[in-house]
Amino acid sequence: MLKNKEEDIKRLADNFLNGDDGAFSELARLIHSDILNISYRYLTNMEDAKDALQLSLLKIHEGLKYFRNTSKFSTWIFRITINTSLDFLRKRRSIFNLNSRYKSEEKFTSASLKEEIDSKDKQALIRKEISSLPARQKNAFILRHYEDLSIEEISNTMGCSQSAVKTHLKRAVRTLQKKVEVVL
Amino acid sequence: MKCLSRKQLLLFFYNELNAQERDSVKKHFLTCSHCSKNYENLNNFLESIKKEKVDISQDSLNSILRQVEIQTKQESFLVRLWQRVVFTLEELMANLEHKPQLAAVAFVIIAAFLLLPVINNREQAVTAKVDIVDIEMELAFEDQNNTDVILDIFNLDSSQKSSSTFISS
Repeated sequence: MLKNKEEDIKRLADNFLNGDDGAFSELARLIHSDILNISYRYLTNMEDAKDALQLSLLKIHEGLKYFRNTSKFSTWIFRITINTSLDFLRKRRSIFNLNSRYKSEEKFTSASLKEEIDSKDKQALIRKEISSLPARQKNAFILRHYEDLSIEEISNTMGCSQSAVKTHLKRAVRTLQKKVEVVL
Repeated sequence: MKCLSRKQLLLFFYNELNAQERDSVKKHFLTCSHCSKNYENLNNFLESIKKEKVDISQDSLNSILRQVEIQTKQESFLVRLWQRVVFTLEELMANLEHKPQLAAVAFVIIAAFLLLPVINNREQAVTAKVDIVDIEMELAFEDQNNTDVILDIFNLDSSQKSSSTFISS
């Protein structure tokens, strides 16, 4: 979990800012798995998740020089990873919309949904439904369910109130539960 | 006690209630089969979402780190400056997103900067129009005066002035 690595991240970031170039490589190795997993929850595709990881590491490399310690390093890294993943998702959706305009037969139909269930790939279905949640609900759910962040930590990461996080989380779970139970 | 809301059930599952609230929910489960059933469904659903982890090989990671290193070294000053601007804007947007008062102030400032040149230009346009009318009037008066002088020189009377004014124009 990224939030448990705060001390190590801080130490390596300080070393990097003091001119130790090897420290960034060490930092990247320390946090790459967390970034990759969060990106994967959003993108549900390993190749896109790897691209998002590379871009997030680049942003972290650039941003560390300007990091002003107003939040925890882990919160800041979460934010960069989420923004990068959402950007990828937006780009992918616009490409998908463009393709679907010309290839209506490729639309996600109930037949393809049935095939998915027949293959008993419930986790794949859940992943797909999570990735199609509205951005804030998705952020709240991924950070709480997969990253074990508390409501307070999520509110710091997302920059909104704790009661808003609770509402996003409730809506996310209700939507997921409805969609998955209807299909199964 | 009233039945539990979905939010309460969810916060109970994620261990986000304080000790007193947790006790109260537990006591309620003992007396309310409806809420117990709802919680069981929720619990089963959330437990069924596996927290599977994905990972990449060391080779893939090394390749990504090499790419990051190459890109950070190749970046020109302008690219770095652009990244800095984008980074600052992203931070600013993230900070403003959930602070409507700050967002409103930022909007007013930006709107003022955008509208000032327009208002300024409009005032200048009106002034320019007034100036042109003044100049035309002055020229017309000058023409009239010149005509009067010419008529005086030739000792023409006022009845002949109108036709001569026509001629002079």
